[in-house]
Amino acid sequence: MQRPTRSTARDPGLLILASLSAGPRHGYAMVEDIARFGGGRLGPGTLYGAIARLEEAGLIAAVDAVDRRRPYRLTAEGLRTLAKEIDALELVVSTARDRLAQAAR
Amino acid sequence: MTPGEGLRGGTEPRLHGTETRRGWVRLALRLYPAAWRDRYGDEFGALLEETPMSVSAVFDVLVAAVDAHLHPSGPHRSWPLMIERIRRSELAVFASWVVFVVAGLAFQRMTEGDPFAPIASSQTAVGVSYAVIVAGAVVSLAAVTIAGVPIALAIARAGIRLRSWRQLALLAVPPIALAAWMGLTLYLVSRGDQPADEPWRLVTFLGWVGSFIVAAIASTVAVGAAALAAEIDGSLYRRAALPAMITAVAMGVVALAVTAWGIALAFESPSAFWSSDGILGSSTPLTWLGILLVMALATAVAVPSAVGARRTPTS
Repeated sequence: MQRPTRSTARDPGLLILASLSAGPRHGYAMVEDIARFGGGRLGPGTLYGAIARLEEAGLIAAVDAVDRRRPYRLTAEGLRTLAKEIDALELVVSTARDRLAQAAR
Repeated sequence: MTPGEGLRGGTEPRLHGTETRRGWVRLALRLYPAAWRDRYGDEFGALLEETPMSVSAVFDVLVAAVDAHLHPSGPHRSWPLMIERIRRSELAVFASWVVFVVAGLAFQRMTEGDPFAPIASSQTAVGVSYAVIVAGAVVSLAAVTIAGVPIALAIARAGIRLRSWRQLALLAVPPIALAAWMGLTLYLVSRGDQPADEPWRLVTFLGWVGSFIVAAIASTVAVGAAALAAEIDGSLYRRAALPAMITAVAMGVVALAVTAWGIALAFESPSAFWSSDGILGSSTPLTWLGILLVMALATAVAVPSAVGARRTPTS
């Protein structure tokens, strides 16, 4: 099993997993969704590069195409990976927040 | 966004149905590897049609296409994907071997006459190093031949079967380039040393060496392009992994032997080592170091590539 390439909030793989946690989406819908919560639009090449890696790692799976648009869904492994990544990010965020607060005192 | 929204298309995408856009989409898809295109081409094309065209989007696609070539990924049939990795690793070994051979020919050219040939006969360490260099060169050539000939024949057969003249033309580049270079060599030999003035001889020599390097680059690129375009029996690439490893090891052995040759020469015949008998009368130690550097860099590319080819699982 392969985790997203980088454990950062801007990692395309993590953003895709987060987007698909709300349900299946195709490429364009993912770009729009990620632009709303991720603070930026993923380029088409970046998006599909990440989709290929996530699909190879078994974290997402394709569902039946609608016209030429193919939606993807999270697999059980993808859900588990997303949960682990969120825990790791939360630890980083809470630690950084505590230290910033101490530094401000 | 609700869970089902993505299936319906999310927010309404901007549509840009111009001929320019369709041309861009076709071009963008061509930039990707065939296997990737087979799996994602349709849906990726649909996304590109919906994505506003911008410099950043074009750049993003170009970078991603290069990445798709360098790091093939995706579930488009795992066996061909593994073979794809082996094929690219073996092509990297082949390209670095060609570079190594060019450096090796420079070494051979420098050492074939006086004062180095007599020293190799009389001084044991220099002679043994030279013998190892020759043996390594023969082993690497044999390994490349054993790995490459069946693949080249399979590519040629596939080209004939599919009437792919481009593929056959690419395969014809190495023999044509070699024949052209041999023709140039014979022509220069037949002219002798006329005119004998030094600048002209220098220009002639540089042109002769340059034409060889151009022929080597053209041949390597053409063979690589033919191999990447041809869909042949993947087991040929799998079987070539061992010869590729032998080639890389032989390159490493030759590079070490060239190192030993220089050190032995410096100790056993310092006057010859510190002479100006390098290429074009340049410094012998600098020529030796230059050749060694090229060989080391080529080996540094070949060894990990060969290990990658050997370690890639195929099932």
